[in-house]
Amino acid sequence: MRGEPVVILLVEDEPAHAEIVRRNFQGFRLANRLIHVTDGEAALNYLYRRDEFRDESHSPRPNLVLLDLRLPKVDGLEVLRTMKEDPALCRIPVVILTTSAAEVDLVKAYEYHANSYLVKPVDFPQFISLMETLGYYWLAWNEFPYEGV
Amino acid sequence: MAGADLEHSLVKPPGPPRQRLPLGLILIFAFLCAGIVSAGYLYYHGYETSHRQEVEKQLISVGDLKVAELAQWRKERLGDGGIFFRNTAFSTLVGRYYYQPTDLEAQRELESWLSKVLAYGQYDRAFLLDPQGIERLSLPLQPERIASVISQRTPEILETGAVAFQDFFRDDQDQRVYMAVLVPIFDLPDGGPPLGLLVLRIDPEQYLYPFINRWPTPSQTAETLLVRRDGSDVLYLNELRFQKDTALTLRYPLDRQELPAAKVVLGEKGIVDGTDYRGASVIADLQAIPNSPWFLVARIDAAEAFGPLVAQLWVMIFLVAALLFCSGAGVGFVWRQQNTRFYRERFQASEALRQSEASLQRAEAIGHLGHWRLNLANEQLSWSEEMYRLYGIRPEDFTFNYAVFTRLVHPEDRDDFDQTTLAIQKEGTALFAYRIVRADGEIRYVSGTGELERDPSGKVVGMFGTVQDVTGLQQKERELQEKNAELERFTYTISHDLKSPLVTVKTFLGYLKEDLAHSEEERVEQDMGYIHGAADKMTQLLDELLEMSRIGRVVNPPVRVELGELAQEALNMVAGRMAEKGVEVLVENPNVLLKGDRPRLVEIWQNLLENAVKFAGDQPSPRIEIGAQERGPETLFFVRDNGLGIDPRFQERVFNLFEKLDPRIEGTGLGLAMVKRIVELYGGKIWLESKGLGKGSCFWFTLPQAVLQAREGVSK
Repeated sequence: MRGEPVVILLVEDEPAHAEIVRRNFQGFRLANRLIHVTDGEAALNYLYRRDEFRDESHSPRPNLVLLDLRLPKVDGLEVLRTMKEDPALCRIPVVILTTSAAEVDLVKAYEYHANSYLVKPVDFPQFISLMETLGYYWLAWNEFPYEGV
Repeated sequence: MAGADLEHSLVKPPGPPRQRLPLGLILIFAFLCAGIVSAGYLYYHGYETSHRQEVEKQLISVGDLKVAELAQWRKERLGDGGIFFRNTAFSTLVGRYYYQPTDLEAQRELESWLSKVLAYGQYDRAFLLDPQGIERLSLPLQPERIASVISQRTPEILETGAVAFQDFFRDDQDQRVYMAVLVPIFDLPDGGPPLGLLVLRIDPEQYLYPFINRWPTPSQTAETLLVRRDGSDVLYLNELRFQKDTALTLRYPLDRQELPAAKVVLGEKGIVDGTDYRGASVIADLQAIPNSPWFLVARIDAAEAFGPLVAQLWVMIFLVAALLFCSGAGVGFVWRQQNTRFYRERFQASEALRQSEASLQRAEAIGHLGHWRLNLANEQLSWSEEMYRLYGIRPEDFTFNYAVFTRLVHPEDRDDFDQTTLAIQKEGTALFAYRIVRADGEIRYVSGTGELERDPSGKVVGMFGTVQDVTGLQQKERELQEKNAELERFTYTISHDLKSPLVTVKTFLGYLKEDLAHSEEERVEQDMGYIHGAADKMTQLLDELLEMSRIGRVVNPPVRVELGELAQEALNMVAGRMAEKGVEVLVENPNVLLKGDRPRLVEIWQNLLENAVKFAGDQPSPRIEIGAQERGPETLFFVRDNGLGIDPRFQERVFNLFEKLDPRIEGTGLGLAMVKRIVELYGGKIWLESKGLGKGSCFWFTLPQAVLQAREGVSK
């Protein structure tokens, strides 16, 4: 697993936030690939390789999903539930990355087996620090299950 | 409908009219009656006793008087005989007359003596008999034969040598009753051979009978009888007042004990009650006459003696009856007064009851709150009037029991309902909340309380409870819940959507600082672009939120306006963007007349038009149709486009606050939410029809409280 590029699927409707994530992950030395979709439906299409994501070479199976909650078309929690209920997708770690600190969202997310729940900090250094920690943790230290099939 | 009657009967006067006399009055009446009757009786009894004593006294005094006089009379008669007894002169004369028939002087002298005795008036005839009882002289001079009774008795009298009485006898010559004084005549004053017997005959008709018959006071029936014993009979000696020819002929056996005459002969004395020879009831005084075989009976008919008593009795009875009637009337009057008061009070009570019943009904009608009562003994359920109104049922249509009642409950709530009923039985009280299906099929929400009813001994006899129609409340509650949900969604989205640009601004300010330090101009430009965009977005969000909050709060005066005008105004506001895309617009039925807050109404079409333009996509000939249609009683408005269309899966969500289907499209996700709120303000609803992506979409909505009238017609 080490040395192989880590595929990260970023589901984020706010372009600015997507840009923040991209900048942080670009700064990371490890070889990785960040794929960005802007709504829940697109995320599911990617995961199930539907429509424009039919081609596997352009849409590799992600090792990690960074998921916002309030998304157009299909809600983030819905995407999470669909993934965790599907045996083929349930092992992919899902990190919730959202501005919402609402208790309902937290509870729902963990009920649906989210692997982590992060609230975007309003403060710049904190946000950067979170991004770095997130990168180290998930990209350097975390062991992903072998996805042979 | 027994149950309903039970409830309604409360307004009628309860029970049958009261007939019972109060015990106190009955007692008073009874005491009065007893007092009056016993006073009457005592008075009468006293009067009777004294009257009887009076009568007895009178009888006794008459009896005493007569007895004394009779005794005296007898004594006098014997005394008369004594004049001639052992009278030497008379004896000499009798001797001369007997033995010297020629001595006419002696005869004359003898006649002179005897004439003097007869002249005295007590004797009607004098006889002179020889010792053989042969008549020698008879005065007055008309010849008459001596009664054989006397002539036979002559030797006996001469033997005894004393003056004797011949009691009443019947003369065998003239068949009349006489009595006589018998005087033996002897030759010598101190004895010697008897010369003969002087008989002084008494006619009782002359003095004795009238004397006996005389009564000292006027009376219809009073009389005195003279009787003597004759063998085993009682013999009447005088002529009676009410029967003739009784002297020496009327006799009764002594065992006729009811006869006062028999009683006196047998030795009884004093006052007795009995029945006389006529069979009449009498009261009598019995006395024996001394030195004689005679007895005297002084009697008077009880009917006469007690006649005044009977009259007195009738007076008493009348008096007592009158007093009884008066006291009865008095008690009756008191009772009537009491009854009148009782009925008046009862009328007032029933009137008060009726009023309070009416108030209860009115209160129930106003509050839509009915009450019921379940009799556990017969499972009968009774309802108040409001209950029937609540259930939309007429009382005469149903006979209620628990089973029928349960059928009125909404099928889904029946189990709950049964559980609650059980809870009442177990806990004593419980709350109901269920739906009912009215007779007309309408479903209504009701809630209520039920509790057990116990009799004074604590035994459970039924249940009582209230039912209130809370459909209105339920609706309000649902609306409130919806509003709350919206508010929650609102705060949630605020916290998310407002925070989101803030995160952007802060983060890119951080980047900007770094990039300026590193003089990376390209990155600086990019950073500032993001910051700018986020700031713009926040401004727009805040503007629209403000606008949104004004809906339903800030209201312009309502005006009449046609659909065409509203559409035109909205079109003017989005004209720039429409011209950009070359959109063709068609307005149908522009004459539909509306009335309402004009700027607010314009916002509906404005937002829908903006939406349509936004999602026109790359349609080469975009077209938007605005119009209205009559469908049944409703006027449906529509805004139709031939743009991108909306996936049916998301059609519900488009009206949500801050809901955006495509993040790349400008806007905050407030536009359609705002339209929905305005539509709802006018009591309408909005929905979306779209066959899917690329097939265009059509927003339909109604504005019931704004539509005045709809007119046909198309204008371009």
